[in-house]
Parts: sequence; structure tokens; C-alpha cells
Amino acid sequence: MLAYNMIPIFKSTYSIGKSILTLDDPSKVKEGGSDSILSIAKEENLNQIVLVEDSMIGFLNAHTRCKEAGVQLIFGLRIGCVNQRTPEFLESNDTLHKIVLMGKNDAGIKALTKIYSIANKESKGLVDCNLLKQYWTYDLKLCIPFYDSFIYMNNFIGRKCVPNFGFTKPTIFIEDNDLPFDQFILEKASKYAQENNLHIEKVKSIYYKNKEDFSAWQTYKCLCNRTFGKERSLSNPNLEHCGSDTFCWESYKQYER
Amino acid sequence: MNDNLLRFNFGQKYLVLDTETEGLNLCHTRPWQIAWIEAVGKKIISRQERYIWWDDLKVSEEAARITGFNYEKYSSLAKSPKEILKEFLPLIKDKNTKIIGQNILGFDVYMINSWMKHAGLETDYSYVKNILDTKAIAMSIAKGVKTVDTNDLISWQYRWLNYREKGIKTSQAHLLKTYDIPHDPSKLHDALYDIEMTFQIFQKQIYDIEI
Repeated sequence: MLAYNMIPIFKSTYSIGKSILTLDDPSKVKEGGSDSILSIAKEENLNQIVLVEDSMIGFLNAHTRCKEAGVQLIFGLRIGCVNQRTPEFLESNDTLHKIVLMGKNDAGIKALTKIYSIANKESKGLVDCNLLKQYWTYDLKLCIPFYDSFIYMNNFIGRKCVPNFGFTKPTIFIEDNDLPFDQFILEKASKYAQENNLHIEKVKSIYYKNKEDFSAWQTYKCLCNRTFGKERSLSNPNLEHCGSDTFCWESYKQYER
Repeated sequence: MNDNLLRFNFGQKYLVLDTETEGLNLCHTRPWQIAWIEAVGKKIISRQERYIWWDDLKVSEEAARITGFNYEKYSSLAKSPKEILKEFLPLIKDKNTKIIGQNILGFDVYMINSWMKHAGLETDYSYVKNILDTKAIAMSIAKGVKTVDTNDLISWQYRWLNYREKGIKTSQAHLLKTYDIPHDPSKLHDALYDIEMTFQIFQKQIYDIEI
């Protein structure tokens, strides 16, 4: 059990362009090198880790490392969802939003792998609610992330996402990362949860260990977001709304204190 | 016709603001100048500019060129970040004041937050709900929108701020040209001149859209 009432949700370098935290064995972590999620778990005596990745690629490594460290792994997949997996919807971003599928147990992970494989084989890595309904099992848990959810996308980006989650009761993740629009997303997410009688979970996305690692994380994001014609530097990273250095373990600990 | 529209509200208080900064990093860049106009209806009642002192200010070469940063002027006029915040924060926290700025939601709110954090204060975005961003409004007007979402003006503005379409321009220089507002292009990026122009753009926009 975590001692805190906010759940830290880690991401590793397996989610490309998102996190600078590795899944390395703590004994192999060098001073001044990359921070490992397993090292944080060791230092902080965590007996479980919630890891939400953008693909299944890192799952085996995460599973092996957590097993070696005697830490329980709770694995989730953050995946794109569209209104329907038809060419029209798959080719446009108009209904694209993110959902998080958590595997509750081994059977849940198998179901996750199945859905992930089908999505990648048939529909550019994206799912729709019909596919989820078809393979849904009580071994899975559906969560709505704070950013990039249909709530965020419809209200702040102007997309037209119409997900039908009738096959389950999703959990709504809420966060507070000192961004100017957090208060407005929170209002909308809370309203949706209340209207649909859904459970709300307070979470913290963690992409680097300490606030001082923010520049390293931003540098990594600049490298991963390279585009023609846009020069990026730390003084002008060209990363929209990247205005908070609190996506880290240090902030999670400060908040709980 | 809706009598509550801003174009008919001659008693509406406005605070128009702009920051000049050492860079464009939304988290760590600090503003070295803040300028603001207080207005009631169309009438400007106060024009202010302050220079914010940072011992280790690092204005990038490009930023210095664009904003006309002059270290001698800066160092002679700058005051402590906390001292200026003491004067500035009550203005943006006035619930009856609409806060106007060009791309204020996408940039200046982050600069004000950085300024507050570097001055040892906590993040406070409670004033954001009173913002009207001329860049967001410009995009909606360019797309032919005639009304705003009055129940959720902030989300509505974020939607338009995040909207991209090739060929649609919403820069201040473009808007000044579009509205045929006489201006001196060489003075754009002087904070006080910028906000006077922003306020003129805003005064035109409120006749183009029902806000």
C-alpha cells in the first residue's frame, strides 16, 4: 500500500518523448546518469509501482525488473481512441483522444496485449469503444487521463470525441500541475464524473525525478519533437503549454507533505 | 440585440498587459518588463510600465534584438520583483476587471507565474478566468464565428488558441493591418506601445463578434 492518498503514475523512456526515467536495475544506476523508477522505489520503500506507458514494448522489462526488486507492478497502457475505427476517423484527428487501460492481474495484461495487437494490426494503433467492448473483461480497468482525454480534447482543442463507455465504469484521473488550465479541466472532469456517477482518483504523472531535472526532460522533449524549420533551444523550446516543472517525484512528495 | 455586450458596456474596467522577457521558455523564463493599461470602456485612464530586477538576467541575443532591450536603461529603472508584484497583483485579481492581452493565455500567464515563483510566491492562476485573449478572438473571427460560448469563455478561447489553419494569420502586426489601425511597426515589441495597439485591436474585435 502506498502511504499517500495521491497515486504517483510513472512513465519510462519506453514511452518515447515523454519521460527520462528508465527501468534500469538500481545496482546499475550511476551517479549523474539517468534516474531509474526502480531506484526511486528502492529509496522510497515503495512496494508497488503504477506504470502507464504509451506502448506494450517496455512491459516485459518492467515486469522482470519489478519481480527482481520485489515490487508489485501495476501496468497501464495509454492508447489513442477514436469514435469508430473507419478510414475516415483513423485518418483525421477530429475524434482522437487518449484513454488508459489498466491490467488488474495477469489475465488483464493478456487482454491488454490482445487489444494492443489488434489496434496495431488493424487500425494504426488506435482503438474504438466497440473494440474495447468486444474484448472487455473485469480484469481490465478503464481510466480517463487528466490531459488528452475526450473531456480535454472536446473542450480545449475543439475535437468531437463521442466515446461510449457503456460497457464499464471508467475512473476519472485528476491532477494539479500548476498549469493555468488545470482548474478548468478539473471543473469539467469533476462534472462528468458526478453526472455519470464515476469514481475520481487523484494522480500525479511523473516523468523525471527532481525539479532540477526539468531542463534535461525539456531537452529530451526538444530532441524528440524535432521538425523542419523550427529551431529549438532551452531558451526557446517551442513546446506549447510546457510551463510547469512539477511532473516529478519531488513534487509528488512535496504535495503529500 | 444583447445589451450585455462589451461594446455597449461603457463602464467595463479593462487591464491590458504585456510582458517583455529574457527568453521563451514557459517555465523558467522571467519577464524583465511589464506594461499595463487601465481603461474604462474605451477610455484609457492609466499607462504604466515597470522594469523587474533580476541579478542574473540573461536576455538572449535574439530577444534583446526583438524587444530593444537596453541594459543601462533596465538597470537604472528596475525595481525588485516583489515590490512590483505588490502593485500589480491586486490589479489582475480584481474580479470586475477584464484582462486583455495578445496571446496572453499562451504566453504571458506563464511569465507572470514564473515571476511570482522566482519572487518566492505560490502559483496563482485564479485571475485567468477574467482573461480575453485577442489572438484567440482573432482566430474565431477569421473563421467567421459571430458569437462566443458565454457559459465557458475560457475553454472557448483555448479552443481557438489551439486551432491551426494554414493561411490564417492572427499576429498583432497582421491584425493592425486588417483593422487599418495606424501604427509604427518599429515600435512593436515595446511593451507599452504593444498594449495600446492590442487595446485598439480589442476595441475593433468587440464589434466583429458578440462578446
